[in-house]
Amino acid sequence: MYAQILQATTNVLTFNVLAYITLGLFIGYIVGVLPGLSRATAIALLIPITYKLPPLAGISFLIGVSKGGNTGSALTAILINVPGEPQSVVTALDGYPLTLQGKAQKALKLALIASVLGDFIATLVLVALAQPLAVLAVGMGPVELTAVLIFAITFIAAVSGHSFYKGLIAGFLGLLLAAPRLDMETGQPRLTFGFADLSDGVPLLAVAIGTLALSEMLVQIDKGWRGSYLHKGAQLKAGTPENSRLSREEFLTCLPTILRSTFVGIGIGSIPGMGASLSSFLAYAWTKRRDKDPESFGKGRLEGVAAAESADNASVPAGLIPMFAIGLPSSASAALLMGAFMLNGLTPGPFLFRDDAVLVYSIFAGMILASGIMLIMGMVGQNLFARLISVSEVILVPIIIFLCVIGAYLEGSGMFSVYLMLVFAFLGYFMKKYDFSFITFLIGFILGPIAELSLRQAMIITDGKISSLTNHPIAILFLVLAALSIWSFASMRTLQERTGAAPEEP
Amino acid sequence: MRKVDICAAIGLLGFVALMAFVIIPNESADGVWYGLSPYFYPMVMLTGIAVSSVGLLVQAVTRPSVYKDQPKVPLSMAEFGFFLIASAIIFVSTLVLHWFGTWAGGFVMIAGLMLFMGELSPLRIIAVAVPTLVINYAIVTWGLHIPLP
Repeated sequence: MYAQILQATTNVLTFNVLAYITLGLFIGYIVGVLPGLSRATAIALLIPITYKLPPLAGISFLIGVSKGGNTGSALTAILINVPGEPQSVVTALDGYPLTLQGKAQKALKLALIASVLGDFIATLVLVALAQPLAVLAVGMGPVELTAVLIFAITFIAAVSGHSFYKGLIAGFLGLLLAAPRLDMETGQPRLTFGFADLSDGVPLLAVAIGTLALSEMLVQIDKGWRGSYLHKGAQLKAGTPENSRLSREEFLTCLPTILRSTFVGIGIGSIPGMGASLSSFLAYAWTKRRDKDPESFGKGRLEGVAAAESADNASVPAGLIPMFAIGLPSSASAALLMGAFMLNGLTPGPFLFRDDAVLVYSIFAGMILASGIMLIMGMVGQNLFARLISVSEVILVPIIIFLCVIGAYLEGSGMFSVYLMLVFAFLGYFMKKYDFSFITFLIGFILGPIAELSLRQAMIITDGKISSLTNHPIAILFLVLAALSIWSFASMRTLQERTGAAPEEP
Repeated sequence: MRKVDICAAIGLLGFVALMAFVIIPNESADGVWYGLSPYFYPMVMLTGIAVSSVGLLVQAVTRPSVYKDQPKVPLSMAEFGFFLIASAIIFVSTLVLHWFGTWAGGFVMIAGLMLFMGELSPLRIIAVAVPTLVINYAIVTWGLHIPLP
């Protein structure tokens, strides 16, 4: 193992890999700052660029985009009270009041340090936990895997969007979309409608870019009837030197909050479907409740920014724990990363540690290095990135739509992929408008081939008898958890009906 | 949203019936391998969709309180109009891209969408479209070595 770690470190410390990590972080930062462009959208658009790259460089690049996007989204939240990502809503609660007090630079510096610390610690936890969990998961057979997949889809459906049933429908539709391909037993075409391009299944990028990126751009465009697309510019006026500098005392005061919130982010982020939004909300609420002066939160408390940013950024590496350990993506970004692995001929999960341990450790090493590069990039370029906030959607949206078309074209099926992507964009648009969870849909689609294989094998092993499940206690455990997630949904629904609160997409 | 959910549930049940009785039998090979037919997996997923759709229908009919905080019209006519026009621009420019190549299609797409979104300055449209096309062409053709249409 130590030899593998040494080899992994050597692999990462090459100019090419470091350059791609830095480029990924840079693009991610810009994505985080630009209005209306989420990091999942950016990953979907950038996967084609990684085709020609070695797997390590390509995956590290995409992870860089994901990390950079999360960190960059704090800028818009703090400077103009417009969160770049849903989870940055919490950052804006105290970040924007700090800007109004002339302490924008101080808030930005703290947000950056909290983000980097949260991300770094969570990456270490990922490194420490993924391999032991994968060893446990190796013992799982098709019956257990089927039960885990049932649990995952049920749970994600329960926590995303307003409606459990719509979440389930979206998940099943995604799983169904994996059916068109050559049948794995007979080799005969199934639901391909005579299109040879569907022999290997529906192209991943056509689905991902269509449902995530292009549909989101269509949503941005239809806002136009309400008025201008233009955003207001950033208010990055320099305050007094005292207000701009983050003092050692201020940092040390916030450090316990950062550490506590990081572990909230790790805990929540590693549960499939929970997402970064919930972790930053919980960390913020906990920090506020523990504080001697909770009334001052929302009026410009540094601890509020620290809690939100550290939890938010910790949830990104934590979200990769289930993906590396059992091959289960926990969010749209993780699902896309899993898709990128698959396009490189690799299947994330317990066997990846056995078959390609050096690659996995190299990715982990790259993630740790990315935290350091992110800190330097943020320190040097934060003011520069802030200038991008005022870029108009009139410029951004057409460029992104064009990139969607080119991205789908690059997958290999040519214009067939592009037309298919348009179909999924229209589908994604209506799913977003009518609250069908497109995240569950996408995760279902990516898990589809694994689900079919394990379901078939499980049926053969158990001979289709439910009574055979008694020989598979882990499977029973996950089926019980699936039932509990349905029950918890019902309870949550009742609570929401009473309070009027609604969950968000992971 | 409640009416939309009722329509969606009924539509999905229709989709399940169409898939189960018409499309899957016509578009899949017959036979049984290891006790399972190629129909098996899609049929399981369709069963899931059918059961969830019935759940959605029952919820929409029997529990109107679930919808009290949700918008009655999730998609207004104005939004739908904007969506249709934008979709038409994207679709037509994709056809142009297919038939006449990336330069023509890309320019029509970017310029058309910018115009639609309110940008009336031809100079600004050219300043956005041309560099985007040049950079994209350079990266894809020379960087990734993939020929564009």
